[in-house]
Amino acid sequence: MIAALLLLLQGDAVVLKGGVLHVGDGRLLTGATILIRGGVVEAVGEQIEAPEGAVVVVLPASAHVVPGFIDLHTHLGMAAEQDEPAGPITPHMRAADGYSTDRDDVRAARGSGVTTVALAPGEANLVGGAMSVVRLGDGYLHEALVEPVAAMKLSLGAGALLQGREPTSPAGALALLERELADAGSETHRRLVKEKKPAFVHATTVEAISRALELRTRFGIRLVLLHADAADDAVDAIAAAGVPVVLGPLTMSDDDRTLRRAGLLAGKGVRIGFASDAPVGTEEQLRHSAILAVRHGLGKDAALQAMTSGAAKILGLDALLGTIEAGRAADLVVYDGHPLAPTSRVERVIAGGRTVFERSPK
Amino acid sequence: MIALLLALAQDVTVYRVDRLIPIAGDEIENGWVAVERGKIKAFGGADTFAPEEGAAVVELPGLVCMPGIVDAGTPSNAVPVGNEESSEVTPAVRALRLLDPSAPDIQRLRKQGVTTYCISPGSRNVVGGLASVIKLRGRTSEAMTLREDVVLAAAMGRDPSSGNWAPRGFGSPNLYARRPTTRMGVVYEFRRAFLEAKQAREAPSTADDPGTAVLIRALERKLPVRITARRATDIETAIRLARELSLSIQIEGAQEAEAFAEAIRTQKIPVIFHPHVRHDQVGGPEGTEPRLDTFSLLADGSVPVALVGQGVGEGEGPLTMAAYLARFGAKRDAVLKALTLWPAQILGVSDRVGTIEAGRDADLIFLTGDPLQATTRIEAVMIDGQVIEGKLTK
Repeated sequence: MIAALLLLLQGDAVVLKGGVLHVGDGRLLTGATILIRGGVVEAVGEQIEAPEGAVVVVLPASAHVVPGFIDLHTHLGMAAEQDEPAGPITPHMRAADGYSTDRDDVRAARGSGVTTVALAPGEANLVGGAMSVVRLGDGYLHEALVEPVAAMKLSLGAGALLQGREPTSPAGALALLERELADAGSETHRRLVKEKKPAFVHATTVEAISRALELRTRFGIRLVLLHADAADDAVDAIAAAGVPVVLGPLTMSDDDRTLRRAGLLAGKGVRIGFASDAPVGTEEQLRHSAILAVRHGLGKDAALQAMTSGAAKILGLDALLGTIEAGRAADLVVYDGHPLAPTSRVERVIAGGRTVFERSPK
Repeated sequence: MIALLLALAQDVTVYRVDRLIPIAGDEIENGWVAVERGKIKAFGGADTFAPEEGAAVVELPGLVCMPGIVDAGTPSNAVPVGNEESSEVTPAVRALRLLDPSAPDIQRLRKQGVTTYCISPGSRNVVGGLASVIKLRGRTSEAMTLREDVVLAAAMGRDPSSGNWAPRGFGSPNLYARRPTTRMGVVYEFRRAFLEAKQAREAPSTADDPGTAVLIRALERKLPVRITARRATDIETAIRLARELSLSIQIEGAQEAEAFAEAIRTQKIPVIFHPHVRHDQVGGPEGTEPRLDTFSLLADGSVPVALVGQGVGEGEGPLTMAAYLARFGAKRDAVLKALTLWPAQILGVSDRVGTIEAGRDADLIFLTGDPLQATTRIEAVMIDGQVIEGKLTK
């Protein structure tokens, strides 16, 4: 009944009062009030009056409110159809075109604490296409879409060499990619060199990471390293270049080297973010990855920022997402305890100002 | 037989029926329709019944007459291989060249009351080719043609992608391994085809390619693009692509259109609706529960909606589908228009077929009762004034 009433009033203002508020940039506020209207956070503070007709949710002091987590690389809702090996260079491919909001994995993800995901093409093509940022709301794509072309996905991995067409070797791959980036008339050049969209490059080995860093220097692209399993061995070069690294999903069974990577990189000043890489992991696993990283040396603040404001910065969408501040999108999650305590559960999720998940009473 | 001879011997034949459903205008009890040299000359009710001298009058007590069904695309075998699978984008392929005028399906369609049919490439290609409108009479495709190349057929979602696998290890795409393999890839191929056509238009030397010329006509909105899109997500994609590439589109399938019914109506997107009456008809693991109100949500009169059958020879012809939808609340006026006038408008042939009006082709069907009654049988089918199925004698 209450849920139904909430649904009816979703177009109107929502006020969250109390609990511990993690702004997302490291700041903590206790007992603050958040006013949400028209899909955005209108105000945050102590002296905020709830407007007439607003839904007021009073939180217990033990509750924690965090910005909705951002998954920096996922194939959620794509029915495991992220790889379309139509050619080595497919910049017009667009991840959102393969996304269906009415899939079970998308529905399940609404209660995960992740509110925003960067959908990505797979690693079958050197230039796989556009990564699209969508919100895990309750509508179809036109409501969910935050940015159809937020970043570009590139692959220096083995997957791009096994498609029965060019390239068949890392050398061939690099030559093709360089030609494409140099071609001022190409879509790849337009997105990465002119528009400076982030280039998420799948680069597993030290060699691949070095080549990616080289492309960055040569073409001035905004590099983000993905699946950088060898980042430990290139940490100084990565840190010197100021290139962010996206990690995860981490699991309990990963080796120590993998689990310590987040702490190691962050300790060197490298900006990090997390990815579920669904269907490899699940959206729920994003937070678990952060928890495991904290257990192995990453600071709690750094872990939370990696999933919120830091992730938004990596995507270049920090003016819109990543913190709970006036003017930002109303994407936030209420936990019944500290968000990095494994025992904490999601109580409520607001995405784009709409309550998309609410834990039903026992 | 006698009536047929009379019809041949004289210029004007007047058919008197219990009820006339002209579609253009109210239904008429005790109506009549006069046919002259394959065209409808006039029609009316008992009050206006005054046959001219020399006209043959055929009394058909107990029968109901309506325009022949205009079928915008019931799947049929009149097109033996509806897809040119050598490529995923084949805009220059013309379905008319796949037509087999002797195919038994043509007679089966006629027996279901269909007199005009849109022959279209299948939905296995992202851009399949050109569809044409034919009359279901004649021995050659030329004789059957009513209007050539009316729409460019395309498809989203699983129709063109399921069952494909990447040409990995084959060297190049072939009949056994072909693209696209994903929903994302389908949109990519579609977008790429039109973007390349755009470039070709700016550098006309390359526009000689017939496929490119077809795509350019679509980009110039001179040729509508009919996109098969069944699931809600694919329908949304079709609408998005239409806006992105400024195409004039029609949506075929539309089984899950309810979420986008308003967008379809306000953007005036014609729909060729495939009734979704079985949960497995949307396709494989993505099948959803049928909704029975989708047609009514679309067909409020603001946009033409065509109703098609589920397959020839399965008894689920367009008329059966209309009766089925009417049973679940669709308005009589809407389902009858969806069988006749609206598909004729969508196909650009409403000046010839789809209604009983003076000057239209004499394509008529004569039924033993109300068209939306399950017990009604089609007694006779007339195309261009000729009774071509059944007979009109008592």
